[in-house]
Amino acid sequence: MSMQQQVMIVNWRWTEFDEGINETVFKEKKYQQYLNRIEDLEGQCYKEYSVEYSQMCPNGLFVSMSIYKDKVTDPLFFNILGKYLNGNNEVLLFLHKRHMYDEKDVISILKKFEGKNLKCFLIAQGHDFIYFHTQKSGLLDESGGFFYAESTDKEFVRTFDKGSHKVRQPYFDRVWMHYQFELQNKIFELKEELFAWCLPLLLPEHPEEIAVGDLKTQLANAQGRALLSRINNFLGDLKKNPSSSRLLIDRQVLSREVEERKEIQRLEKAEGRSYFFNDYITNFKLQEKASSNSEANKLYKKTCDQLNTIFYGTESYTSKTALRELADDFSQLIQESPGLLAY
Amino acid sequence: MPRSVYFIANTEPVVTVLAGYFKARGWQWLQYPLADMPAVEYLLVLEPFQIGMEMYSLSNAWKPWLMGAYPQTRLIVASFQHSRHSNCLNLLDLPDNINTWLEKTRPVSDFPLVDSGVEAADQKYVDPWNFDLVRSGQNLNERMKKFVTGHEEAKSFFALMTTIRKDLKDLETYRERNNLEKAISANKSLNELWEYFDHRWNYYSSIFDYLPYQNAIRTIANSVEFLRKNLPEDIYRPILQTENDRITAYSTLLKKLPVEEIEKELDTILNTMRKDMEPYIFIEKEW
Repeated sequence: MSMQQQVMIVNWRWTEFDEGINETVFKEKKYQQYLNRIEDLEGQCYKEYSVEYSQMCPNGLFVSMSIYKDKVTDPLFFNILGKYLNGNNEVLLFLHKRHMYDEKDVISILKKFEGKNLKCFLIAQGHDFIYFHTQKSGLLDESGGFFYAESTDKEFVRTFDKGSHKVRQPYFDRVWMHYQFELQNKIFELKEELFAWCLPLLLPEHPEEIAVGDLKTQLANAQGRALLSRINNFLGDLKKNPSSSRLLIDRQVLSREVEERKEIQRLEKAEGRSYFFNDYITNFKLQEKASSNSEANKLYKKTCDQLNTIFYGTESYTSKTALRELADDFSQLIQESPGLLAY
Repeated sequence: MPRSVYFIANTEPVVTVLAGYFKARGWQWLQYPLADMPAVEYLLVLEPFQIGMEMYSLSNAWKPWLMGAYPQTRLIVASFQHSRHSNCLNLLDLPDNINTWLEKTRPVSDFPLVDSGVEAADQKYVDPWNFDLVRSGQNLNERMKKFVTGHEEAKSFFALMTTIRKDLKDLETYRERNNLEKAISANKSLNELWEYFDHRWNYYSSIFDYLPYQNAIRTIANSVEFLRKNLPEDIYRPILQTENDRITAYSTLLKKLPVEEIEKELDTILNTMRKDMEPYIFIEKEW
């Protein structure tokens, strides 16, 4: 059995590659002929870097890559990705949105390699943890390379060591850990914020029955936190829509979804971090399916059902009991998701 | 005179609501002064506690320290979770009569370590405080363990300090013997390790303010500051690009270092960690 590697692949605008591979470059440089011998392309559109040893990632490998999403370039991208998904490797794949990748690509890539130990994330505009600046932990700078900074005092940071030609620790570990566990963090934060703002409705002096309108007002009091939009984003395609004429639903839903996305984007910009659930939930659903662990998936659906009942049910009142049950559902889901949070 | 509940919390909407809740029931709701660390009867930590962008559970870092400093303190963990633990307050279902509930809480002295029956040194004792305890957020004490142990054995807190000291000695010896080549090599190693340590210290410094052993943290912080100013420059640093830069760096390296003072500060760091922090971080091993 081959040695298990922890592989991080970042498809991004690396300055080390003069140009990313798009349809034109692919055809000009006749990359078609390399599809079955992609090793010959190392250094041209992808490059491997070894990683300093750590207990968490004893066999780390970092791969830089710059391939634009296109039907023509897809086979090249998939062949390179497939190379690292050999055996029992764990792979984290990061796709730059500016390279024309979106949520649909995350789903199709995960489905194409279903059963493999692959997680896939979208990154852009320096907002994600993988960029050093967001939390002084990530690997990338904002201009196409590994983060490097120094000043005349003794503070000195470099995430890549030019001497040993290795990606440095603990930066690799921190990024690795963050993306392995980020879904749990996001669910946890959503739960905590939701209940922090609902607390006045749960006090002993408040009656058992709670008007759904009051609940939504409480969430709206959390100005700029986009709480209801984040709940809807968490629900994704499981969100229940109010009954109305089909055409009206489509228009209303589309317009509301656009507004909600904008609201979450504003929060992301203000906080310098990611709040969308989309790619994380997709990874979660497909990973859990692949590992035959349907428990987490069931808990996700159960939590969504309870959210739908409370916020989008036919009743205009909910109750303290329903909110407590929702908190329990969230807690169980968090417990079942991989991560560091102690429940 | 109303009795007081002191809190460590930073979730603003919850702090405001709890202030009203306690005041309405005749209790003073006061922020615990972390700068002074006084003895108090009731100390409530609201979990999770946000530090930077991470959410932490504080009680495992505070309980061992209170056990030593103020064993009569009733440490309360408040969170949005149900628990059978006598000191966990479920915010989803707050009691109408908080007086009765508070009376039933137990001082930390009621939770001494007990023999686990396991021989291994680091598992010999267990902390009954953890039985039925619910935590919301990353265990802050586990985070401190990571700070001490590092990502590999050679980069643990103690290994780094010991090797930095050895490199310093080597550097001084080679300098005295005018063996510039070896002095430069020792200096390079020293700087690499220091860079590693200094980054770790900076990275973790955001959580230090919320730990109970503040005196120890301050002592180490002062020593770290001294070392930042007095360790020799790394002449390999790419910022030193011009010949003049390099000449200056060489002369710094050859200048007599305040070795004794540096060693003293390294000793202070090691001893403070060993005596005043480690026993609260690795309690199962140390007590």
